[in-house]
Amino acid sequence: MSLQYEAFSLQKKDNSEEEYEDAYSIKKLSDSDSNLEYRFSVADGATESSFARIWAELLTEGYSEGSNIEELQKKWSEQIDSMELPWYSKEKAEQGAFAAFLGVSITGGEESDSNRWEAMCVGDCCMFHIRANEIIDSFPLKTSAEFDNSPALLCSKAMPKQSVPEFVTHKGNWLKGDSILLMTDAIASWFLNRIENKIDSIEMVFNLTSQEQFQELVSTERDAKDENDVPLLKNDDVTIVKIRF
Amino acid sequence: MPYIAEISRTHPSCFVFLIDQSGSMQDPFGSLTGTKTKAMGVADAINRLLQNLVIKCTKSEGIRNYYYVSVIGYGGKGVSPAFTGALKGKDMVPISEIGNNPAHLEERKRTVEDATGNMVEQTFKFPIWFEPVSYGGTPMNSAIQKATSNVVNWLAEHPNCFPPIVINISDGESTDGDPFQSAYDLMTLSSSDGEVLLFNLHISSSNHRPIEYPDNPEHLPDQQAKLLFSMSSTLPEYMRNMVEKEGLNVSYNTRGFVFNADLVSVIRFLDIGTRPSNMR
Repeated sequence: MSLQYEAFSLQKKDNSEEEYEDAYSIKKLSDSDSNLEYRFSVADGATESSFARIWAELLTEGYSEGSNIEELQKKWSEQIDSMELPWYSKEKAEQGAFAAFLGVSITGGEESDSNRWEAMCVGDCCMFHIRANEIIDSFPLKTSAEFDNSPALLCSKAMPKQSVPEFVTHKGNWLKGDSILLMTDAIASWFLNRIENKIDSIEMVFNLTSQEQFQELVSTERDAKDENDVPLLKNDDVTIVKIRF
Repeated sequence: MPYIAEISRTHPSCFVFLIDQSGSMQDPFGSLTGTKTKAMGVADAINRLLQNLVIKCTKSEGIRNYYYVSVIGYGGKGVSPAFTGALKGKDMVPISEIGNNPAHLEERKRTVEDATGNMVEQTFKFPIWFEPVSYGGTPMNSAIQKATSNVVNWLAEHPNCFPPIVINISDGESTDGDPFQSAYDLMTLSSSDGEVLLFNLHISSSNHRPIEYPDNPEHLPDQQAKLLFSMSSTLPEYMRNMVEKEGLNVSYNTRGFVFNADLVSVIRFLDIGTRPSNMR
């Protein structure tokens, strides 16, 4: 019954690979016919904060390992405190790093109703549940118009309660042949927008089999403009995790 | 749809700050009897603006040159680049050089709210680039013309950039003629992404309450405030929305003008990628 998965990622155009600030993690806990259990996650470090990549990586790895957020915040602070930093980096770090996060746990067994997924997220990373080439579930955002530049995000520093965003959760059942896609915001917004414009982006994503093809798709869509001269794909880090049952 | 150009290291934008260093800046700031002078108010404002801009451009590996910055002083010694020390005489400086070359770092204390809601004291290093200066006349007209010349040069090399922002910090008492026409000439320059933005921070001895982003000159306390208001750009739509989100009333005539108030919000309005709504 094993599932297949692959991940693609690319940094913002004109940035170096080290400046990629998304992260993803895939954890296989069990993969037998009677007991299937996986954890997948993506995170998107916010451009305006610094040390966001470390934070995005801690969040995805922490989800795989079942850590709580306080432990991850502590690890982030320890890493930053161990560095010798100039005044501006210290001040910036004082504001904390920010990231959007989405994790999905997948379980399955011999009983068909045990094939389930459970997702949790903060911010605008998205997951899409696809059956027979149609999106049957989209979480947490459902249309490209819902993306904006300032969602509330997870902070690497403990904040006063009123500023801490709540995790949103969602769940569903999967069937053999279904797919789940996890995406960070820019590519998720592009994905929905293409479908809204009757372009089969599901097919485009399913057809990807190599990093080269992914880079080509991203580069073409970043260069293409809509009728308002706005790029179809916003120039940002992009990450996709594809899961096929 | 103007003011949407991406600000990046390959597509940087520019800031020009004009700082009033004239004799009238010896007068008290924010009241007629206080001990803080307007010159101190100006120095504090420019240091805070630069500090915020540097931090805005700071990423894990250091400061990214999203901006080039010019600081022009005007006063008894005429109109000239105002940096001292390693940056002395430089007209247009990449933001990373500014961050790495403050005249000195001052240890300051602040109170911050911790995760449990308690207020705790914290020490931090505050960069000082400018000390208070007050001497001679106020050649604001020439200063604006100098800003125009810097902006014209910048636009020739960066015709598609996010429009340059010019911030004038002054008490508004020009001594080399009415600066309105010069300001108008500057505000009507543009890149392909929109017109140059001229904002004014009025530092006054008046004890009138601070005023932020007004849309009407009628209730401004004096002639200088009305003049500086008249030579401030109306806010582009996206900035207007951000001002509104901060709880202020806005209209199509809301201008980039503040009176004895903080203009650091302008730095917050700069869009260089995703900004979390809960980031302070």
